[in-house]
Amino acid sequence: MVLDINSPGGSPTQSAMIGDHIRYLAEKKGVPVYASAQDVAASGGYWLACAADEIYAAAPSSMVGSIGVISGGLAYPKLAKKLGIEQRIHTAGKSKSRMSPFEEEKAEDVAWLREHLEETHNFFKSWVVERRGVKLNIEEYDLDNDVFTGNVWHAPEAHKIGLIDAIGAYKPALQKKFGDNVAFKTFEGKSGGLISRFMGVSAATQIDMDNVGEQIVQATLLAAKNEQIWAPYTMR
Amino acid sequence: MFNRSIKSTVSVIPLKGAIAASMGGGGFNQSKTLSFDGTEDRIAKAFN
Repeated sequence: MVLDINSPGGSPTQSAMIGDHIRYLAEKKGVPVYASAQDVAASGGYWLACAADEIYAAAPSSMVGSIGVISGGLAYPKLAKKLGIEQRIHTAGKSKSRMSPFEEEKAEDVAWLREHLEETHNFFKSWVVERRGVKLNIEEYDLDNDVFTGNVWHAPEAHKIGLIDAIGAYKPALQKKFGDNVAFKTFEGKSGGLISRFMGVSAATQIDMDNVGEQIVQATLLAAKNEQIWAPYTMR
Repeated sequence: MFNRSIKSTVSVIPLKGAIAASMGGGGFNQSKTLSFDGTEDRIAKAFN
């Protein structure tokens, strides 16, 4: 089994669910799993790679790591005030409403968010330690100060740290391991239509022609978000 | 006597794109993106 990864990451929960699903099936079926990082396996992309027993980076320029957690968004309290926009929220439960983009940031909310970021970071670190174990080079690298920093490395440094096992394309590596006769069968996902390919998102469900305008706005926002998450790893 | 070589098959699961929370509902869904719902079936098929 090969996980052919090219991902800058994203939702930690979805990453964990996919990773756990792969481990469950790998252990149930007794199948070894290999991961290959193409341009990038960072953050949640590296979380997925850790579901494998061995991780290959396709090329020295492949980027690996980003074992950190990030949260961000836009806020416009001054603009809202200037435009006379007021937000009306009524809650039962004192912590029900947090981080409103219409209000100035509250210290209590930031403390709450930081706590959650740290906790999520701990889940990620535990997963990496569980999966990479003794392969991590703790002789030369302090995990908390050097590795679990959110930094991302090219394959040679990632190899030195112990985040990956080898550099090179997975096909020749597995042919060397299992023999030249080995065949590869790809299990692709569904691809979207023309608009979705243009926008960088795909239509998983039928497009409702009555709401095309709204859907194009949604697609544009998603495309912008997608662009933002890829930006640090885009080199031309 | 036959001299048949046994051909083994390696399943390859492409996992490409940002990993997004499922959005549900109608209209566009994120998907040059990955999610558990969007990958569960093909991962299971690849292991069979």
